[in-house]
Amino acid sequence: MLELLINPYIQTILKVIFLIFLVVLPSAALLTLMERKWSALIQDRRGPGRANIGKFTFLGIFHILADGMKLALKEDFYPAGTNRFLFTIAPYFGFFSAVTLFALLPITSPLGNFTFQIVDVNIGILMILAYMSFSIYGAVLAGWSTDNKYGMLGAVRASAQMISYEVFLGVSLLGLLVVYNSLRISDIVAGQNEYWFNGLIPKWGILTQPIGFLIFFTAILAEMKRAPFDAPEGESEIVAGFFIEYSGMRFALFFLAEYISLVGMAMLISTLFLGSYHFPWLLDAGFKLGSLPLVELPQWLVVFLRFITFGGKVLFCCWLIISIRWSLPRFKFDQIMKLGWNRLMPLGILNLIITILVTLLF
Amino acid sequence: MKVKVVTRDVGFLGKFYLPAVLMGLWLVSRHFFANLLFNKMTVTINYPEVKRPIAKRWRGRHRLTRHENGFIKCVACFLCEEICPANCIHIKSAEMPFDKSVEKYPSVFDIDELRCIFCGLCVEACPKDAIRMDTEIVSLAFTDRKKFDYTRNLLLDEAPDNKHTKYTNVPLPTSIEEALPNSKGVVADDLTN
Ligand code: SF4
Ligand code: SF4
Repeated sequence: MLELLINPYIQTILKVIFLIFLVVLPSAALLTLMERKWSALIQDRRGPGRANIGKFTFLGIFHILADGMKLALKEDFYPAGTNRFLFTIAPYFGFFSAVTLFALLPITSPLGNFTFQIVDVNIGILMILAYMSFSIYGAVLAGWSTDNKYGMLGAVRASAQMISYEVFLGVSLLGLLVVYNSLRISDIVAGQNEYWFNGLIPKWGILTQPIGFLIFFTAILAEMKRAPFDAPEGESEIVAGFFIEYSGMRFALFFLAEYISLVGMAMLISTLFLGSYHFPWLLDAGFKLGSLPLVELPQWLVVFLRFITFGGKVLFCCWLIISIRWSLPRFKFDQIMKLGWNRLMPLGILNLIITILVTLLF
Repeated sequence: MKVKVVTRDVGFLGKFYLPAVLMGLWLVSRHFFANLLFNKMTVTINYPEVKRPIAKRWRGRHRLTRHENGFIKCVACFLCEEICPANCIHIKSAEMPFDKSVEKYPSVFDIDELRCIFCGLCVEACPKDAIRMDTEIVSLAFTDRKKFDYTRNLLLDEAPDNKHTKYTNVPLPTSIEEALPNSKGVVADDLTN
């Protein structure tokens, strides 16, 4: 029995199951409610809280069940003139690209030989970029196959936006690669637990690459098609954009994929720029601030603290992304393009050059 | 065509929308945390459980008023039925046999609240202050259309809720108690004849 558990393949499968069913799906489902609740708090409302079982509403948590049930009971509908094959497979692209991201990111530091990361490939960042750009196929196919002009417009906008923002998404990450000198996620994570000034200031990505962080964050927002870059699905102009004709569980797939990728991107931002699971001055052996003596902690406690830290960071990133949605109006399409190509792109290249010069000189 | 060009100087950082974004985030998070921690600014009223206070002049469901002695004030003059733009008041008048102080009284007084537009003209028109809209009943919601037809005694707040009947011609009363419940009106002299 124990031998089975030590088998790396079995371990990986168990990790996948654990991650999908205990982390990805619950957190995405919770976020659908959280976004509504948080936006209500921001706008001085109360938000949903009526769905109940008996007397209990638990802050509206049953709305998740109610929504899911409603979507599951809806008619599975193909509008006239649809390309059925493409229409059917389109939602899975976004879902796939959102979920695969989780395979590459560690949630806490290894406990003995057991890593809390499904795979640690040596080209981690490239793989993440590749999977991320996969989601655009979903948008384009969905918009194209529905034979609807709004869907078509949404698909065109999505692809144009994606093409331009993917470029400096890469550029902003190049600076990070130069600093930590590796494409492997675990190396980048380890690099962020080193310190400047004799153990005082951690070398987190946001401190080594502040401009890179800003550009990356902007590009991530555009990549997820979230406000203020939600022109592909702009409700007030093209109704719902590329998924306008979808209903029932197919729509739910789009909807869920959006929130899964929100969690995924929040994890990505925390992993690459906010020091991943590292709490400042918490080393593998225990707390150590500057030249003060080490406070020793058992390994399981360190791992647990790091897990909490990572959760907190992810929650903060989700909150930030959602708050930005509720504080900014949608950019016009030409403004999106101008911001991308005229401003962020040169800035990203400048940032890269400066980073390279600084790394070479010091 | 004359065009006035307005130049906006947003500065270098403004070109990246940074100050605006930070200001927006500051505003948003202020509201977020104030509401999350102290529930301070929430303006929502949990409607069915909590009702917002309504103004005194709010036009709610109608009611028919009485004299001090419990007599119905309405004299069945049809002014309200005449002026009603929605044609939703239906009155049938009857002679009051027992009471010399009134000539007529409404044997039927129906208001179809479903058609009523709550304009308040009936209240304005009434010469006797017999109909008012000050019940503060804001929402009329039933699962049956018939229940929106408010009959005379319902408007007097007397009959139980299930006695909704439309255009029932209430037969002439045979005794004063039957004619006007709780009436303490002046009894006619020829009643004994
Ligand atoms: S409020 Fe207006 S519509 Fe309603 S019964 Fe009176 S006059 Fe008619
Ligand atoms: S309610 Fe007033 S206006 Fe209407 S019939 Fe009676 S007395 Fe006349």
